[in-house]
Amino acid sequence: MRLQLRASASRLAVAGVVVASVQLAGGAASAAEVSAAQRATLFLEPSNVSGNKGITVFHPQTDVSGTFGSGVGIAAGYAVDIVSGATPRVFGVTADSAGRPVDAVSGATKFSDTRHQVHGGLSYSRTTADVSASYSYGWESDYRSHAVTVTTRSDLLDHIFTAGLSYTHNFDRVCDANNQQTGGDPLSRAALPSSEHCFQSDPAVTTRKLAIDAIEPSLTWAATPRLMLQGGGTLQILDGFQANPYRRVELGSGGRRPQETLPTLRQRYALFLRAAYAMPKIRAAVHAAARAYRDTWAVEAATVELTAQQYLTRFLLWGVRGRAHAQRGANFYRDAQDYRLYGPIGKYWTGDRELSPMRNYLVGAKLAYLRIPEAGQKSFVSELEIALKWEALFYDLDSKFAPNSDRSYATIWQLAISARF
Amino acid sequence: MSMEGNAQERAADEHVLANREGAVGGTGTAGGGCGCN
Repeated sequence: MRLQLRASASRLAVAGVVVASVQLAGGAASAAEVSAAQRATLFLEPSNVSGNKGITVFHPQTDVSGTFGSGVGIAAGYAVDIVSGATPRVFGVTADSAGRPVDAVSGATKFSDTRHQVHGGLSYSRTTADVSASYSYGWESDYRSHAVTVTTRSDLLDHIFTAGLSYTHNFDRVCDANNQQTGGDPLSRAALPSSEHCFQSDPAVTTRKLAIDAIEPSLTWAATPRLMLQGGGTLQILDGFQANPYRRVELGSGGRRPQETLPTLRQRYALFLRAAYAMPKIRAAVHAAARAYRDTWAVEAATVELTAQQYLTRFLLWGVRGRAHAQRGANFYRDAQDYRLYGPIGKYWTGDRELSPMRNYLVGAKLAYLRIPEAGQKSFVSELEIALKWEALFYDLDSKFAPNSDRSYATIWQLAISARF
Repeated sequence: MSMEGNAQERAADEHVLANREGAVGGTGTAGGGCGCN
């Protein structure tokens, strides 16, 4: 059970009954340790419209880290998103032979793209505190992202509380159509036809900036030897181009289909509570989490999650996960039919599912094989885990004219192999 | 003390959901990406 504790020896002893992986942080007494993990995730979101392919994402990632007796740690990794499928470039409605509006999905366009990301970091741990800094660079045909993260954690009151603080800044650049000739009229903006000429000196395309600042404070409380509680929040500020440059939105019945237009400033706030409860007698643990969210685009959301894991044998672990999410849409969102009938609300319009009112539900199960040598037994591999996970994600949208209404569910497969030496 | 469990697994889970709903936060995995698809 990955209820990792960085706490006093007494708490570690109790939690160790159900904890498969225990990390002792820092201190001169720690021995050198190297970890390596390979994980591959396959995301399949089919379309129920004949001829549309839906979305497929294959996401392999590799991570390697090492900690040394001095408390210094180093980490590096590489991840890829290989995305393919077909998605509508126009968020709008079509009319049937009688002139009535039909499904929002029209003219899905095939595409494929690959996003790469490399990251590296350094950390320094002592008995009651640690600090880490990391950098990542992500690139794809139409996007570049540099991100730096600094995280610190301190144990307080004899390890009863742990205060954490994390800050991330993104320096992102997005490829967009150069709409200089529109004179700033958003109704005249054309969408980016393809990423073919992005980040080149082609006058038909331009590069827009997006800066993201995120700060996440948290406080963890070891309430009892079996129960840990954590509360915290997230403040994220996005400043820059946030629209999908390829997407157009049909506005009114006159056939105008300008590029999606979103505000350039978004402030996002989240508060969360988590609890982890260990049940040594049945070699199980339960995690619960709840999150409340709102932002300056008037999206409000609530999310709850519950996971449970239990050892079937000394080496075999199984788990289940359930998650529910509900949100209100952005204050400028309308479904495709309302955009056609009533036009936009103000000067912004979108065809993005994540800005629409909706709910989603996730259920899943996991089976893992863990190999940890007995205490005192010497082994080159100090821990080995092979895990297979399956999850299903169901979407519940408000109308058949909502974005991606043809894709009502997704399945997610994940295979992971990790080892500690 | 840390409750994040397996950080790589959690990051992968959040990565899946990041571009499919309007909320973020509470996970330590804030980041970029246009989510164009």
